Amino acid sequence: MPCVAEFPQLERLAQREKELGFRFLGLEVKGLLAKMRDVVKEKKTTFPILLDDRRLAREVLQIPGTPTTFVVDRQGRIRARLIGAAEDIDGIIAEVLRRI
Amino acid sequence: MDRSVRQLVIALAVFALLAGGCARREGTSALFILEELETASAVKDPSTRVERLSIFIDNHPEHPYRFIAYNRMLETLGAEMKDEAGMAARLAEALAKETEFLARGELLLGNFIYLMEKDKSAAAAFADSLFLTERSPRLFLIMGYYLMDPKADQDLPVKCFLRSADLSTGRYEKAQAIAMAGAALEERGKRDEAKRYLAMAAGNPEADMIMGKILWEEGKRTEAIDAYVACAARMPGARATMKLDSLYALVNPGANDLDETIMARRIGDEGPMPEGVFVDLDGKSYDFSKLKGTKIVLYALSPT
Repeated sequence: MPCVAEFPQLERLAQREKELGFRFLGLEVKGLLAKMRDVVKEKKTTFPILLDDRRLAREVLQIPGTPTTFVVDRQGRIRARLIGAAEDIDGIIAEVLRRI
Repeated sequence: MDRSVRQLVIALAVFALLAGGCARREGTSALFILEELETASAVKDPSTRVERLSIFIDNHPEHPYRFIAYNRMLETLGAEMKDEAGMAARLAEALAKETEFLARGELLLGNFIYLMEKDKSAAAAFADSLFLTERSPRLFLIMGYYLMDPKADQDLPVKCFLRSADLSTGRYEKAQAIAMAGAALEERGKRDEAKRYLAMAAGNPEADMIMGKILWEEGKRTEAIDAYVACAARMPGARATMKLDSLYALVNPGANDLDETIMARRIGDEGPMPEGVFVDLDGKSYDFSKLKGTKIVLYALSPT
């Protein structure tokens, strides 16, 4: 479960929303509501997880799989697309946020 | 306040209230619909579950969550109930109703995966039979992944990936399919042909990774590093898998700019974030258009 494995790093990143000036949003793409709620409870997740009820991820953003991370600038433009899990994902995203 | 101005203010206030209400209803209904699907999926008795999922599909004939309901219904009939006749009947019934090519693709994919687990030759024959009638790029892409097994038909996965690429309208989806065609050809030893497709899909991290491997083996180390850097920019976890740090040090002794090189390739501009109102697990709405002015990190995930 690569996405869930990254939750501690993601939570650490979400705690830096004010410092780095961004909003962190999860987007659940498989419609697994009960499992998602279990994970949120178990991992004590604080960031919001949205439901992809219009297949935004698959059909519009064309993600090849999960996790896929999009970093969007203040003008609403997608500036980075990061595919797959990484040990230091929070540091990588933070660096992208600093530069955009 | 002038009467016309007051009327305008009232009209705007009513509009704002209605708009807010609509946004909330849209979001809330997404959660309600998913709750309904979860309730149907959680029914213990498999036959009753199939009926409940079927009712869900009838109740929401155009909702994207019906794709999930189809999969769960076919899985229950096939894997759990071993009712192949029932599965075939439900599949035929659903296909007769579904005209949307993506929904048809999901249905056929469910059947293909079931066949793949049971009889790979039958699954390959089934996949081959869909080329003339189906138009879902995802159907052909996923079938191609399953058929990548080297023991399976040698040409069919490539054919599936190229069909997926032909049908794809989005550049990322198309690049993924072309990259996989390149990967399948490389796996089958058709290196020159593979390189042609991998070059077409440059920018796709899988294509860049395989191209890097080929170039490295051919002794073209600078070009190989360039492809590996492109891969790591998009797929950060691949940096360790590819042992990029040590390869980079071999080609660029003494250089300490790999982080910066990757980061420079990582940031670009792929266009506007799509707009829309989404609801979270608690029913709270998030309107993407109202988040402009704030940087966003959107993390697409699955809990499995």
